[in-house]
Amino acid sequence: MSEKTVGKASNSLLRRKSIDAILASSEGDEKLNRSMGLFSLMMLGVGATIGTGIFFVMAVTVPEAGPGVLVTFLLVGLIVSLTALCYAEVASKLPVSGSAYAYGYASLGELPAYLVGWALILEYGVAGAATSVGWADYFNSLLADAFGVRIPEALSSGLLADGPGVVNLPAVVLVGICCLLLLRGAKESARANAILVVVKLAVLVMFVVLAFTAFDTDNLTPFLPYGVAGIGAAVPAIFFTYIGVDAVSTAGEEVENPTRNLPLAILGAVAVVTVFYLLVAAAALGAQPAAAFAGQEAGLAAILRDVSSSKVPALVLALGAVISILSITLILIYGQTRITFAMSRDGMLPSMFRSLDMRSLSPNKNIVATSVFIALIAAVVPIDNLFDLVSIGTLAAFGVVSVTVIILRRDRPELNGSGFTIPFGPVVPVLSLLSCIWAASQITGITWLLVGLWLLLALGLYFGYSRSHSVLAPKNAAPGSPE
Amino acid sequence: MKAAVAYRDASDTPEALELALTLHRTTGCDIVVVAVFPPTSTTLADRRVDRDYDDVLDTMARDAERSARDTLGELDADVDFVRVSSTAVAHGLLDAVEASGADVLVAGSAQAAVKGSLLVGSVAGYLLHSSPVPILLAPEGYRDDGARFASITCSYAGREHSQEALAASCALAIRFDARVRVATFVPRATALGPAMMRTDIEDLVAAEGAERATELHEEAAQLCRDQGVARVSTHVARGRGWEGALRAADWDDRDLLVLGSSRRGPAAQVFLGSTATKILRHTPVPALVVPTGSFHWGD
Repeated sequence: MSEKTVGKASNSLLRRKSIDAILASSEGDEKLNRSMGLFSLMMLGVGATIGTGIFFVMAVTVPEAGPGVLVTFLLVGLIVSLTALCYAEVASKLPVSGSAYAYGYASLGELPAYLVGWALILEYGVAGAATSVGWADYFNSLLADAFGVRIPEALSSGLLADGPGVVNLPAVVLVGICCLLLLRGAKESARANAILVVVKLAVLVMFVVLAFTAFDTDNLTPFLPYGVAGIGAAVPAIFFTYIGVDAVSTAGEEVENPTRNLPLAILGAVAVVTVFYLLVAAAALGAQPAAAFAGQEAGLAAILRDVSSSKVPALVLALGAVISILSITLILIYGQTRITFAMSRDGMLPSMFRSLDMRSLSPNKNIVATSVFIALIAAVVPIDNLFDLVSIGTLAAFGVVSVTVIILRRDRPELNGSGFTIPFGPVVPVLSLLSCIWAASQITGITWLLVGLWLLLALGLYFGYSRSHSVLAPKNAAPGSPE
Repeated sequence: MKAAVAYRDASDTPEALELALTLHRTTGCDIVVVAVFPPTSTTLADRRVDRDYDDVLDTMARDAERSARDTLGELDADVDFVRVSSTAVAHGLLDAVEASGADVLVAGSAQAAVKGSLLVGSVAGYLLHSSPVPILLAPEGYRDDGARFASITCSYAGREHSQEALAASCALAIRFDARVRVATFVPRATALGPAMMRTDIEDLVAAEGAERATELHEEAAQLCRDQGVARVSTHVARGRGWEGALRAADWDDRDLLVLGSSRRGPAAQVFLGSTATKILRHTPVPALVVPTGSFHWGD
C-alpha cells in the first residue's frame, strides 16, 4: 500500500478511499473475454441463490405469516430485484472493486464503510453459523432415518434456544470440518459447485412432486391467520433465501452486451428462483397444516416422511441437503475470512488477520480465528435469531449499494454510460433503499439489542484501534502523498 | 556423489534415466539403478505354484537392466544395477538408497508421482515427506538434451520452511558454477463457489503474499552471498493458480527447481495438504525436493 495514493489522508470520519485507487489497485492478470451469454449468466445467478435457506426457512416463517408466506416470497423477490440492479450498476462502473465494503469506502467514507464491514461480518460469518445449525437438523434427520440413531437433545441445540439444549455439537463439528478444509487450501471448483446446484435442485424437485400428491386445500385456509402484518414479519427470514443473487453482477465483466444482458439476467434469475421457492412453499403448505410448522426440525424431510409410506424420500432429501449445505457453509466461512483480510489490509483490523502462511499463502490465523468465532455462535444461538441477524447485515449492505448508485451518478458523471445504467432515473435506487429500510423495520426487538451491542463493539474497536491504524490516517500516509 | 535411479521398465519411469544423464553430466556422479519388484516366492511349495509369475518378474528385471545400460551406456561412469525385492516400492527404494550410500534419489516424473497424492500412504506422499535424501523429479516427458544444469531456482517461503532448500541450492550452485535465483510462487486463487463477493479479494491476498515474499528475499539473497554464491537474483512469480504462477517464473533452459518439503505424518498430510505437491504438479523444469533433515551432502 506504500507507493500508490490510496486516498486523501484526513482526520475526517468520512475520509474516502479514492475511486482511482480502487480502479488501479488490482493487478489484474488476463483480461477476461466477454464470452458469457444471457442464459449462462442467468443460471449463474440461479445457482448462486437457490438452495440452502429454503431447507430451513418454512419452520420459522409459517408461524409468523401462515400460508400468506407465499406473498412474502413474491415481495422479497421484488425487493431483491431492485437491489440486484443497483449492484449491477455499481459493479459495472467500478469493475475491479470489492464488495459493498469497498463501495461504501469509496462513496460514503471510512466510518460508514467500517460499519458496513461489520455488517458484512454478520452476513457471511453469521450466515455460516445459520447454515451450520440448519445442517445439524438435517444431519440428525439423516442419522435417524438411516441408522435409527439420534443425538441427545442437550447436544443438538444451543443454550439460547428454547428447550434443554446446551450446545449444538453437530453444528460445531461442521464448522470444524470446514476449517480444516480451508486450511488445506480447499478450493471448490466451478464444476463441483455446478454439480451441487443440480443435486439441490433435483432434491427440491423430488420434494415438490411428492408433497403435491398430498395437497389439501384446507391446509391453506385461513390464508392470513395473522393478518397482513404477518407478511411483513416473515420478510427478514425470507431474505436469507435470496442472498447470492448479486453474484450475477460479479460476472458482469464476462458477459456479452452487458447493458442489455445484465438486467435481464438479474431479473430472470430472481424470477426463476421465486417460482421455484413458491412451488416448494406451496407444496409444503398444502401437505401439512400450518400449525405443524412451528419449530419443526428438518422440515422438508419431515413432510416427506409423513407424506410417503417409506423413509427413503426423506433420507434422500436429507442426504442431498447435508452435502450441499456443507459446501455452502464452506463458501460462507471462506468469504468471511476474505472480508476480514481486506479490512486488515486497510489497517482497520490487526495484522493477524492478514498474516499469510508463506508456504501455502493462505491466511491460516485468520481462518482459525474466524472458524472459532463462527463455531461459538453456531453452538449457542438458535436459527431464527441467526436469520434476522444475517438479514440486517444483508439489508445494510444492500442499502449502502443503493446509496452508492446515487452518489456515483452525482460525483462521477464521467462514469455514466460506461457499463450498465439502470433506466428510469433515481426511481430504482430510491425504491431499493426505501424497501431495505422497510424490510429492516420488520425485524423485532431482541435482534436489535444484539445489533446494538455489536455496533458498540464495532465503534469501540474503530475509535480504539482502527481509526489510527487506517491507511487513510494522516500519520500513516506515505511520504509525499497529498494531505 | 552417488545417485540412486528408480527404474523398473521403460513405460514406468523413463524420465528417471533421462534425468540421470543430465545429472551425471552436471556433477559427474556415480549411478546405481534400482528396480523394485515384488518378492519372489521363497518356499519350495510356493515356487512351484508361482513359477510363471516369478519368471515374468525375472524377465522384467533383465529387460530393465538391459534398457538402463543401453540408455546410460554413453556415460563414462560405472553404472550399477540392483534388483530389490519389496512389497512396498517406496520402502524398497529407500532401503536401496541406504544400502548404496546414495546422496540423491532420482525418481522419475513429477506429475506421475503426485497423481496419487491425495491418498494416505501413496508412494509419492511417503517419499516426498519422509525420504532421508533429496529426490530429483522431472516434468512428464522430460528428455535429456546434452546440456548441464546452469541455473538453480530455489522456491523460498521463509527461513523456517526453506532453510535446507536454500542451503542445497547454494551448495549445488557452487559445485556446478550456476547462478541462484531465490523465487517465491504466488498463485492468485480463484474465488470460491459462486463468488458472493468480487473476485479481486483474491488479488489482495496475492498482493500481500508478494509483498511478504519481497521482504523475505532480501534476507535469503544475503544468505546466499554469505555462502559464496557469485550470482544471486530474486523473483516473485505471480499467476492464476499454481499453474500460472509456475509458468510465470521466466525459466531458463538449464533451470533446476529446488524446493523443501516438511516432515509430516500421514494424518497431517491428509488434513493440511502440501505446497510441495502443488508445485510439483506444475513444474516445467526438473525439481529437487529436499525433505526436512535430508540435506547433508558433505563437500
